[in-house]
Amino acid sequence: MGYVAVKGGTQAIEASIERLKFERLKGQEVLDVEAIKSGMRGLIDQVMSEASLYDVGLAAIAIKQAEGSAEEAVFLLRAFRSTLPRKHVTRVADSATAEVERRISASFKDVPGGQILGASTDYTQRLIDFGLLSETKADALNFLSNYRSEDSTSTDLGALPKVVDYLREEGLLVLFEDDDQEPDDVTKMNLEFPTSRSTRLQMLTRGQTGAVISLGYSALRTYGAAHPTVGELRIANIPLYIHHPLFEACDEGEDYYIGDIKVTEVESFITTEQKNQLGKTDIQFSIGYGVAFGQNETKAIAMSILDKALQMKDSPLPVSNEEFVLYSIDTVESTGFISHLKLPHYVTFQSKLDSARKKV
Amino acid sequence: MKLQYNYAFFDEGSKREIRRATLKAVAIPGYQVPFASREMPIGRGWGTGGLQLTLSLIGNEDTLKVIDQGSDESVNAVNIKKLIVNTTGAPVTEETKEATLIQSRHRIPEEPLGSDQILVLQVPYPEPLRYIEPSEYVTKRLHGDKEYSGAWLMLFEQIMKHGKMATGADHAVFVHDRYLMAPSPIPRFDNPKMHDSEALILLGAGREKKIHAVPPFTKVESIAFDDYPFEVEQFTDKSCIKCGATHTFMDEIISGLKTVHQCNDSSHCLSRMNQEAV
Amino acid sequence: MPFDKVHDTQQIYRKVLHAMSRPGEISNIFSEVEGLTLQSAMLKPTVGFLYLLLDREVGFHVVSRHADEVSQLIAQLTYSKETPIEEADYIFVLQDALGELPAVFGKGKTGNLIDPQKSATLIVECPAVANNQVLSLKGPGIKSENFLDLGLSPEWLKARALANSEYPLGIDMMFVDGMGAVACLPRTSQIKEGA
Repeated sequence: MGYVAVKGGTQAIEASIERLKFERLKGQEVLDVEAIKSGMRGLIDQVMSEASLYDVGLAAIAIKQAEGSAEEAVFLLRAFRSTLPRKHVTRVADSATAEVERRISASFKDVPGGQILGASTDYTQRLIDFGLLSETKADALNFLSNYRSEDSTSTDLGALPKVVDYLREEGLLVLFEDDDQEPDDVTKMNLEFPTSRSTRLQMLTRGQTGAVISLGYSALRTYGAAHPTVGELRIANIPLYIHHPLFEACDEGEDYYIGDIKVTEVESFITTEQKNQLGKTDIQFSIGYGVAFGQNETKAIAMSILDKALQMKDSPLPVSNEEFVLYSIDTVESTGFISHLKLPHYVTFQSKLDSARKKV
Repeated sequence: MKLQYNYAFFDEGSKREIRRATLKAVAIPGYQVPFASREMPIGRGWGTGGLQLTLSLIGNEDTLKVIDQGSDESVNAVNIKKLIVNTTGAPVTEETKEATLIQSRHRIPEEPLGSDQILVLQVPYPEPLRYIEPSEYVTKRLHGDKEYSGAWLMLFEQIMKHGKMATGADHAVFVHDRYLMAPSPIPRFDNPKMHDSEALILLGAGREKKIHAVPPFTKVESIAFDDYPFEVEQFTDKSCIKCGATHTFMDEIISGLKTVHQCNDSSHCLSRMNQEAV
Repeated sequence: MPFDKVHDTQQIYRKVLHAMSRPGEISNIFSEVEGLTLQSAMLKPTVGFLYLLLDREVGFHVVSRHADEVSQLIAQLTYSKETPIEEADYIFVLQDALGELPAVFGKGKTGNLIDPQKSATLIVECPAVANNQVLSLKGPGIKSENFLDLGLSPEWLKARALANSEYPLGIDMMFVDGMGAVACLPRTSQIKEGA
């Protein structure tokens, strides 16, 4: 072996990893994964959505390991997800028959089935509640027993009609055939341009929350063209079924139920002009669609704007350029490449130096 | 750390996807085969393309070497090596000759490679036309039509402006007289090593989701004009302060008031010094 | 030793990759596929190729007198989809149907200029794969000249040359025999008959 060893890298790295663990534990508190699952719903939903992996338990471990960094937790989950084979595609899931937790419409004051506010921070004042400093488990249990006794509802939450159906019946909606063909899976294929809608919707729903919101906002604040009305926002638990992989033909009664996912679903109405049979221009509505795992309302609304913007091929909006949006929106890709700038670049820099110094 | 992962990290389906794309890449030298790049436990842009190739290749009979900018001990190399060893138990070496699989970021080793070795290069920007044309939709069509005038024009403009080609690392090459290919940001010094190589060279871009290949004994030519020929980085009158080598790619080290040079390929440098010591 | 889906498949891959990067050089996968127990009209080494190449993401087609039963078996084993020959990513030409090999070239996809990789790969069961001076090979992966003898009657050569005439479009080929010998011909290999 060598007598002159240019060593040191490995030990320094080990020490850095040790230091990272120290930072996580130096407060002498061990964060309970159950506590994360129970009390960090917002972060868990964001992380599951960006990771496109629906597993509350895994998300909680990732959040603990990542010390609460969403970027890092998503990274952990994505890397885990990529080792899992995809064996099945579910039957088409229908949010209209799913159990609803919250459902609001900004388009109509009174929608069939009513506005169901559910749980939301929308109606709170953002004042810090210093009472939480001294909240005890007994307080929680006390609250829960009182809350349960008040909990009663008469509406059938599994059969709320969709707001879009109302417009559709009136003929105000641009109509399309149902497209129930198997969607593309962006984790199992390479992007091809122009993309399919299923590709776009997947890229958007797993997009980084901040990026989706910012890009969606950019469409909203410029040109005005993409100002939607939230036709319906619903948070629902959707049951998923798969069929037998080798006997596609068998009827739906023999499907396997594999569990529920909670999603936020948004249908935004955007006016479009359609030529009618008389050659006149009618105003109709088209839909921008947004959906995200968990309760991720701002992201789902922004996604519905982007979905629409990406369908407007001739639009001057920067976010109508699908290569720009889809190649920029992913958290693992953007954070990874930005952070790679921290790696040594001395060979490439030396090569540039050589070019710069070369005298003609 | 308690881990629950498969041999070589991936499920077999992921390896299959990478293997299928690699076989096509070998069959179409220099062409960027799109593949369903997986998300890895190291960052996008940190060598995930090379890592995916290595994990799809590696087996019980392999000996691994990982280099980052010429060094086996640099952060990226250590990190990648650790992941591969943790999930495969593969033996590692710093000796270029002993390795069957060599994953490298931005260098081709100084030691000539043999037919029983595979070199895997990490690629940040697989598209040599990206500086000229931002759209993937368009560049795929330019390659289809062998329409490379943009790349020639860029070189021409450099010559007009600077009186010379001003490319740094990643100087584009023509492969098998058909495809213009980014050789990954290896210094120009390493470009000629790709031509008629004994070893198979695979290039992986994880974030950009492309695999390309240079099979052994394949024509690889750096893009240049007849009257402005391709030139590698010059280290005229320079020698390595450690091993005394004069024909290697060197790092410039600022030591006190003067600048000294040292072999960039640390394992090559080390073995030269050991030879002298014997 | 039973077939090991992880390590035997990895070895098969490395040997096939070697053969694809060095057209005409012969690898042998007999020891890897020895542990396979599947009974079918396919040669055992061909079954090894199924594990290497096929899954839900790609389509295949079988050319054989027993195509139906073999296709069903492959679909069950790999979850891959049987497709018409014109759409297949992988076309398996079994030993009982070698006469159809020339016609396969007219049907298999050769990709397009934008995506030349969207082309078929043929896996052909040969009587014997050897290095006799029957076919002379040149092209990428070959230092000066390699020789290959596949034991096939030569009609397929013209059909292949026609299918591969517009490089980068073309069809890539893998050959295997009952003793596990494997050779490959990517679309870039130029073939001449005789030494």
